Amino acid sequence: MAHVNAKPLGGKILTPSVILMLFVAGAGIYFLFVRYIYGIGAVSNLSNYMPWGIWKVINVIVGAALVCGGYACAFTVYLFNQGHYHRYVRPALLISLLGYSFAGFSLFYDVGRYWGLFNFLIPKYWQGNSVLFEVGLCVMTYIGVLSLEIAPAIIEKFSHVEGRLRVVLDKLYAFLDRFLFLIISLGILLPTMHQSGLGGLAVVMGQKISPLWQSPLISLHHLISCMAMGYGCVIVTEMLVSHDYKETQHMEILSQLAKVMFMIMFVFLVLRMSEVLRSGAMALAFKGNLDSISFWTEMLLMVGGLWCVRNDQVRMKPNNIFLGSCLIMAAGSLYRLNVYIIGFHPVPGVTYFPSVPELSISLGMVCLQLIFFIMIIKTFPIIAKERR
Amino acid sequence: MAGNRRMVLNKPMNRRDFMKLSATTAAVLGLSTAVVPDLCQAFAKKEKPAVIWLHFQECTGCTESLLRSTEPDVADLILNIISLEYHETLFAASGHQIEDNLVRAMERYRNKYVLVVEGSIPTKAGGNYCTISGQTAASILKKTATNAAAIIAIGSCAAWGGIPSAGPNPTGAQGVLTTLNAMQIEKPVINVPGCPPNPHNFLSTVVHYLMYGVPTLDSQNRPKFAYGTLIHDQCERRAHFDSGRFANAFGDEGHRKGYCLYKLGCKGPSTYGNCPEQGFNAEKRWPVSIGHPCFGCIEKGVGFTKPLFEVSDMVTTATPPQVYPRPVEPGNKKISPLATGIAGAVLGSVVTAVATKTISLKNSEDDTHEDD
Repeated sequence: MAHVNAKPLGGKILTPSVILMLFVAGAGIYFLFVRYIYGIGAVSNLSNYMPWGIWKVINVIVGAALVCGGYACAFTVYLFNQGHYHRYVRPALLISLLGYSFAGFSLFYDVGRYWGLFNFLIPKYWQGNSVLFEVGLCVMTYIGVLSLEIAPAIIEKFSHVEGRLRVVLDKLYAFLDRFLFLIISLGILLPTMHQSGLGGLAVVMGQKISPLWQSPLISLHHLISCMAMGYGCVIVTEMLVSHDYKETQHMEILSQLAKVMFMIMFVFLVLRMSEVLRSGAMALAFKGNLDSISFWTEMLLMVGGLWCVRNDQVRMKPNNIFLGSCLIMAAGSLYRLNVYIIGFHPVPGVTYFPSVPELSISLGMVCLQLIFFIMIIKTFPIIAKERR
Repeated sequence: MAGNRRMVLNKPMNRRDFMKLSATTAAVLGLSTAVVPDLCQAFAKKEKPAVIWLHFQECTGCTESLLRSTEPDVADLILNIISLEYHETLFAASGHQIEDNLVRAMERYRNKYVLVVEGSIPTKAGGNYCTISGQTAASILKKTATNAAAIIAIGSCAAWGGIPSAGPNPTGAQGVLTTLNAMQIEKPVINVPGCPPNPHNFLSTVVHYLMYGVPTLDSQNRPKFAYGTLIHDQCERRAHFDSGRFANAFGDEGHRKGYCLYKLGCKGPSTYGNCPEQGFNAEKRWPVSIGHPCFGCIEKGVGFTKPLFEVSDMVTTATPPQVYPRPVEPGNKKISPLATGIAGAVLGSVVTAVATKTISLKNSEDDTHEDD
């Protein structure tokens, strides 16, 4: 990592958009207090039949998939030895770290008896056959791994520090540099495990999930789509925070990333459609109900995203890969929303729509995450600067 | 079928089948695959343990189901793993010839053979309801049990009396353990009840005995690996029970949808066994999976005792309430217009932001091209 020329972006932190997000985050935190004082029932529309609402699905499942940039990048850069993508690793890792930390934090307000969550750190209470346990343990370990992966950036920030702390930091830096390959291999293994584990959760839900989404391959669907979403997230972040993309050389690298995203999403689309056709669930897509509308929206987003990045010529235009990445991220997110909320029918007649406090908490947490991200890229060396 | 043919031709087992048998047995016993080599070694022993198999008041159903089991093929057990010295159904010999063999086997393998008993023992009228070659069941049992290393009572009849002991029990039928206790013969007795018991449970018991001795038994001398859990607690329809979805009559909507059969008299809540896990007929099928309530054939005081459609006692689970909460109240809170508004606004602003950025990117791209 040492050979990436990353610098803090600098500049004012409290821009108007950050202030707006602070207000939204404030509303979320207010309702979070209400939730802790009066309980989940007071703020949410969750029930015994729909225990997983938007907190779990948007903040944890969709959130963890969207921030798979760190996973996708580590995969490309280290597993396929594509060093020229190196400049994206740090921002992607930062997004992943923030995303996963907030996903982990979300559990504390989403789980009713959150004080029991700590039991899961005690080996004697482990239940090795539980899918949820596997996902939880992987996510928790991965947060630790991500912090180690991002640590060099934090240490670089304190390069001016002198004295004994310097020695410690240097040692830590050298240690990380030396064993980074181990940490990175964990950083590839763990997301592979828990992203497919999330699909495993869908498998154990069995017939509660509409056949349009339920499939024996659902773990694979989750894994593949999260990688495409991760690439999408890296591209979008890069285009939003960096102004270097106008350079042709940089555009070429981004378009190659878009190509990988295209291929992965294409595989996902083929697997998805072949499963729907194979299982005979296609008829459900023409019923005209919410399920079928949502199914076609998902498909449209996916095909639209793929269309935007269909060939090298198209991929050289920044507007195309930006829109394509956004659509693919939206498609992957809607896919998860469909699996866990829209296509989830535990008992006939149960409907769910989040309440205002529930939405506020979800939005507030997303805003808080973005604020943290902006603060960190402005103060720590995350974004690479090209030498002109 | 391959097994049956092998039984007839008495061909040795091939290696593949042998490994398969060992692995399946380990799986049934709930052991790790690490013991498979041990099992192979035990199975491959030159001197096969002798087994004497007695039939008393029974229907031979246990033997029949055992013979029809596949994977592992019990014919393999009989021909390749144990040395079956006496079995009325399977022996070609009959009359004095087979009785002589029984005496010879008892002498030759004194205190070494495993005695398998199928069927209950009558006690009324001096035990005269079941006699073989002029001897009563009780006297045959006494003679063979005294010199046995261990006794396996297969089927509910041998374990606790079964059908013959059903009221009014005209023959005074009772199980092996009760009879031996009355005779004050102290030998390890393993009960493998069921009507018929799952052949896998029997086979696993035999293998466990051969390898590690008598398995851990419960209060009724049943091996815990097979009879340790309530059927109710492993039932594939348990979720329906917990949610209060019951079949109320055969063929009603709930029955067709595969709901819980508790109200049709399923005895799963008071019967210990591994039927839901093991299944029968190489199909992993068992009564409940094809829509009939469990009738507790394994359990003394339940099977052949309680009326077929009487609602079961609850051993560990609470009796279900008459009324269950329906998902009307908590599930369908009103959709607040404000919430939809917020969701719409967020979605709209995200779409707008993406569109704006795309357009601005496109414009700047066009500008660059114009500059060129």
